[in-house]
Amino acid sequence: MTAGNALLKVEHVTKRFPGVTSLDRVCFEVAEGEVHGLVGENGAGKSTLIKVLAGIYAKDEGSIHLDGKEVAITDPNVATALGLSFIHQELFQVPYFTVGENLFFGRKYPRNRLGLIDWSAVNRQAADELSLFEVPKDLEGQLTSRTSMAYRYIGAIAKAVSQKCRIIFMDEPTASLTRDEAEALFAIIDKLRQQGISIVYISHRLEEIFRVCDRVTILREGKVVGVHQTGTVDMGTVIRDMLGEALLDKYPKTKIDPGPEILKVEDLESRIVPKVSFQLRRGEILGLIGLVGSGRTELVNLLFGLDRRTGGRVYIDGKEVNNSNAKRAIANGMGFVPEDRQKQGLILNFDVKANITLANFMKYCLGKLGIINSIKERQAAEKYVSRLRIKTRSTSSSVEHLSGGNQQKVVIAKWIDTGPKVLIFDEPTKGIDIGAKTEVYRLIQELAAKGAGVILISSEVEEILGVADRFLILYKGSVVGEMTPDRATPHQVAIAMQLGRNGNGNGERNANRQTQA
Amino acid sequence: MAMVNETPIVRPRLDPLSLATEYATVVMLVLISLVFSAIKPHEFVSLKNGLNLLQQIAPLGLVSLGVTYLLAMKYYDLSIGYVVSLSGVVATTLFGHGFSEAGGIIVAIILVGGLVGLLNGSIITFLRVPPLVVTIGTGFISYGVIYVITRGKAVFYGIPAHFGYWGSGTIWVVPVSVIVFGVIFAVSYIVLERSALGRFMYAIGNNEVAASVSGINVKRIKLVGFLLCSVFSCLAGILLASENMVGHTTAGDRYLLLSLAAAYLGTSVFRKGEGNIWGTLVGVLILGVAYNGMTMIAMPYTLREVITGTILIVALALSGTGKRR
Repeated sequence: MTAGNALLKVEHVTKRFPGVTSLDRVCFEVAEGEVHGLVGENGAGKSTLIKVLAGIYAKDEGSIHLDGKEVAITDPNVATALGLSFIHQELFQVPYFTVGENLFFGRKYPRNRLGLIDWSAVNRQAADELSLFEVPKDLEGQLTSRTSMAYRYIGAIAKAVSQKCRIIFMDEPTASLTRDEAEALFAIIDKLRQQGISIVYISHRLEEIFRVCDRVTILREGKVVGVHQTGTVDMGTVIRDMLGEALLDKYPKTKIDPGPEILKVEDLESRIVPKVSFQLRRGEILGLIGLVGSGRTELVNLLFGLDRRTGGRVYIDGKEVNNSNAKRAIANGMGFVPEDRQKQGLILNFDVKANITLANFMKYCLGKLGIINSIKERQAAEKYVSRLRIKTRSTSSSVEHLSGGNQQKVVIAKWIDTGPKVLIFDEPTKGIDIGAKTEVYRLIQELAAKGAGVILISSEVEEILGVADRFLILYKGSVVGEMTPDRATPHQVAIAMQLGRNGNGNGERNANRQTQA
Repeated sequence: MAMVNETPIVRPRLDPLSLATEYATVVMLVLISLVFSAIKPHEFVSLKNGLNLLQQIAPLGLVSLGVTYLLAMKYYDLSIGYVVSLSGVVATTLFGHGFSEAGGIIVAIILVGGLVGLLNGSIITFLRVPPLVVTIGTGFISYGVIYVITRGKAVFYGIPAHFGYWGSGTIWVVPVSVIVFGVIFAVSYIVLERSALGRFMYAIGNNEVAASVSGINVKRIKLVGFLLCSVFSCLAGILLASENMVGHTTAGDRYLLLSLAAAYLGTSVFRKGEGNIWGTLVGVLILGVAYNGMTMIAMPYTLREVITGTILIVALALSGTGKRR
């Protein structure tokens, strides 16, 4: 630790949501002038903690102290007034405003005597605020949409500093920065620290945590499981804390003997995906693991025809296929459970049965005119509801009000109904509770047992080790390694995800290219 | 019905007040009808006036049905008014140049409805130009073509007398235009509520991305929607020309706003927040009954518009369309 006393102290804060305890008596401390890392797997409670501090969620129990005095952060304005500043992954800047205008957006503009905005004062003051950082002259006058992500980020920091912030919370700050830009950011963080401003640095990339933070707090399943000085701890310990004792029996793994090859991908590439090759056999579950931004979703989007391919070949059942759009991909025997079920997976306004039958709808219609056979549709939906144990009042209930786990089962039912040869699951257990997770794993196993080839994307090491038969590690767009669960420890996988190295160290090659995309 | 929205939290309560708000648009229709029945019991409540009313709303009904297809997908088309005028002008002009009645009508439908619809649909879906700009543009083009064809004058030379059959003929006592509307309404009901095409349109309207990921050919279905909308407007234009035996350059002007109003009124009832065919019918009937009744009690023309506008706003406000979700 570099300096002083505890500036922010979070004590025994609990936050419950229906069915889950998102934060369980969390204690968290940030000292003055400290850069404090906050890490944990998806769903560990990082963003809930941030939202409680930002005044977006109200805590259920516990207290928050600033300078030793208890504070009640009832809404975001209070947080700002207390000197807590939040820079989200999305910057919420208006692209058509200049950098200077964005700097003042939401603050009081300087006015002239007529009560109109004094633009020259705005620009002068903006230039002044930006001059703390190494930026080109007249950056304040440039259109935000024409400046690089790095300068936009600096704009956000400058705004926080100008509002007399004492702690800046940065959520995955390097997600859209190139390597050089990230280095520049680290230098800025150093400078802020010297001015006595504390930083809470949230990132999946442990490398960066060790690079910039003084201390790191690790969250797992809503609890703080470790607080370490980065100088005296190694990455292995942090990873062990993040993952916990791997409860592999959570995964109902049954051994399936893989059949013949069902999918072969040869040098598939697009604007954003560098050449990728792999094979998948019937009954096999192939994991794709990598950090957010490692190109997993981009790869499967391309495979499923949601992005345009620029090269390579794809074979299903030995036959070359051209999945130029989702309709073709489905016709060729593929299914896709997307990462964002609400935006890509479901028609929220539709009822359960209409969602289940949507991808194979002509099966429920009479003849070429496509008149709906409602009885057949309802019966099929009821079959899936009982088989997948979807908790809904009826098949005519809107999916909007189902729980996340049940919504996900509806999406899975939709794809089972198409009888896919290859089914892609993109983070299928994101945001669903433990019980539903196990059921999703069981369904994946069941599909594989029936002869489908499954591709499972995840950023959770434990999940991949528990469910996949074999997995590829992605790092900044490229496949950097292939492993099987019986020959890999969680630790090795996590290291490979973090550093992009699996002995051969070729992960860096596409680094800059990917981060810019 | 396929996609009834049931919410476990807010079950539709059955007390009269909430039912009345739930179906405010229908209540409004009943109220207006009751008012006119009270003022003119003998004239308003009669088979003759009923059929007359239906005949008056047939062209508006057709245009509004077209709008409903697009509204189901959360799209709209601002060229429909000019398409109504253009199709009447084209059909009547062709008669003057020796085309047979059937030939004239068919060519008008293909040329005007098909062409404008395809143009709208393909520019919007393939070139990704916003529908506002595209359909205003094709509307202006249609308007221009009307003036090129007519030089601004109404077309009434050489229209075969039996062309009037479509707009003012009857089968037994039922006007032919009412039958045309009825048949197209029935087909549209099946398409929108009971067929794959309708299901896909609503899927697109609710979540275009998810629809596309589910393998729905979004572009093709949008194209079909714009095509149907133009063709229906075109049919309405032919009915109007037939009724008046003239191809008038501005015959369709009012139909843009009226049909949007009718279909939008319809979104306040049955499938809340979505274009739907029964809602559209209620919307068209409200406008039809209001005009019919106001004409009957000889209300000044200027005042009629004010009252119609008021009815629209009150119906939508009562139904609470604005507070959904």
